[in-house]
Amino acid sequence: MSFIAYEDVSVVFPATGKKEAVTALEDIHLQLEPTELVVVIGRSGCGKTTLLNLLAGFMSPSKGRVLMDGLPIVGPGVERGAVFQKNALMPWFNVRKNVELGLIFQKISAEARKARVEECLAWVGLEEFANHRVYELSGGMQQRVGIARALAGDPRILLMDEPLGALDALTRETLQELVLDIWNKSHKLILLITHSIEEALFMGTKLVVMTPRPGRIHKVYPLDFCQKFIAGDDARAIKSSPEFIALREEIMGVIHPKEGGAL
Amino acid sequence: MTGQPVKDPLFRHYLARKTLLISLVTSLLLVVLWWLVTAMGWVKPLFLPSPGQVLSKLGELFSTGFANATLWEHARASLFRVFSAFALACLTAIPLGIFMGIHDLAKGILDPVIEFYRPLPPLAYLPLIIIWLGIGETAKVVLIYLAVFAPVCLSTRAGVRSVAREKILAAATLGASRAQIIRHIVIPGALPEILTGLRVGIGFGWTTLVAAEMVAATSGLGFMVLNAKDFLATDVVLTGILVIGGIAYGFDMFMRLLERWLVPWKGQE
Ligand SMILES: Nc1ncnc2c1ncn2[C@@H]1O[C@H](COP(=O)(O)OP(=O)(O)OP(=O)(O)O)[C@@H](O)[C@H]1O
Ligand SMILES: [Mg+2]
Repeated sequence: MSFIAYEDVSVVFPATGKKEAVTALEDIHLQLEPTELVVVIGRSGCGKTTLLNLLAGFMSPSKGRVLMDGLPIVGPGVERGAVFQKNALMPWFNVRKNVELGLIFQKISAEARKARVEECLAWVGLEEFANHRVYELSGGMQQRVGIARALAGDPRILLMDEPLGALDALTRETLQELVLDIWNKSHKLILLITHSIEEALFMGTKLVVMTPRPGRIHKVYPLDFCQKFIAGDDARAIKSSPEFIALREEIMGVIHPKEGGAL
Repeated sequence: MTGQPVKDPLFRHYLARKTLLISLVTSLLLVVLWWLVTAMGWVKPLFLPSPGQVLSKLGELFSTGFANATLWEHARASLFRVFSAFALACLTAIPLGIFMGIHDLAKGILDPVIEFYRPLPPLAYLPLIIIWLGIGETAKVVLIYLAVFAPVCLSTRAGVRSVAREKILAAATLGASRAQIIRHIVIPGALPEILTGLRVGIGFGWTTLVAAEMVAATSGLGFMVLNAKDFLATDVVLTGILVIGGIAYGFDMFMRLLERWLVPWKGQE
């Protein structure tokens, strides 16, 4: 039995008023294992967020089932942490309190909370900013807070919907390496959505390529570039290797049949 | 060097600092103009008493009073009415507004009621309140309360609605219960708009005060002004208006301070 299984899943947003019904996902079959780093890529509107929302428990499928350990997912849960693209930090709390929030909700003792928060802040390199307000931080630092907050409760799965989408290239690369470090040390299942083919190839152990209208899984590729990076290879060298470039062109051809460039 | 917030293209920071000076100059000019038209005898004291006259009236109202009560007693009566109505509105409108924001049933029930009475002038339903509650303090407080309730309730609801979906979903993945989401996410998230609602609400409260004190009042700033009108005591009328305005302005300043202290993140996201 797989850890996570999408079984024949479809999601249809019903017609409302003048809007026609939208089939966001159709015939999705997908299995995910406990220590994978799964990257989902595809054009805007192909159902990536919908796919992630199903696993997060933010919505339920119109048809089929999404199972965790063989049991249907019925709503959000602490074993599935999420990092959002934006707007998900609480500006009325400082960095420390934001990271602590899940532990407070779960009524963990103050002492245990303090230790865990320090640990998570150190992990993302924000110890010195513990007492800052979140809006005083840069975009990259805010995403680090989001990651630390999701990690604090030690979830089994980390769901990330374009968490690096709004960042500049340099910050983005640093955070890619941070996520890889977290994944390598914690061995959680990570589900990452991205618009960048390079990011997808570099980070994933499994790449899910989707196509739109209706949203379907086109193909699932196994990847091992991130293992090479973790083993010590240079990131630039990996990204300019012939295998990397060949695969990049192939996937570009799928999601962008005519024109080239980023999505 | 100290850090300065970057100016936005509309120069909103820039304006905020400049407007204080502009406001002071404007107020001063108005007083000078007022003094000029009275000192030159362009307007009769019956229609517009001079600033000096009003100032000495103010002192007189404090010591000897008007209509069997000193200014302080009138002010106290009005402050009690407005602020007990305001407190009642806070205690009821904020929870109901939150409830309306998170529960469609509550919205369905309350929305038509509030939207119907909100645009009515308080004077229109004052007779009904008098028939129901008599002419005592209760009727006065209820009239003001109704005026404060609607804006507070509606802006609380709007505030709850404005909390980003992502924040609520994030809290849910962190294991928050419904009550925890309301306490840690919804209420702080709605707080900026709640405070705005309170400022608007108390404004309506002062507006309604005079209407409430039209009937069978023996004290109060609104009563004092209305009563003075019957004796053509324009200086008392003007002093009363200035005192009401001053108190309302002062309280609004206090609310702005409270806002800066409670929601420093407002507009920062
Ligand atoms: N709440 C909704 N109501 C109606 N249609 C929706 C809703 N959410 C998503 N859709 C539709 O479902 C489809 C898939 O949306 P989804 O957000 O999953 O795409 P996505 O791949 O995440 O896109 P993007 O890359 O732009 O984030 C889109 O066509 C979208 O218009
Ligand atoms: Mg999306």
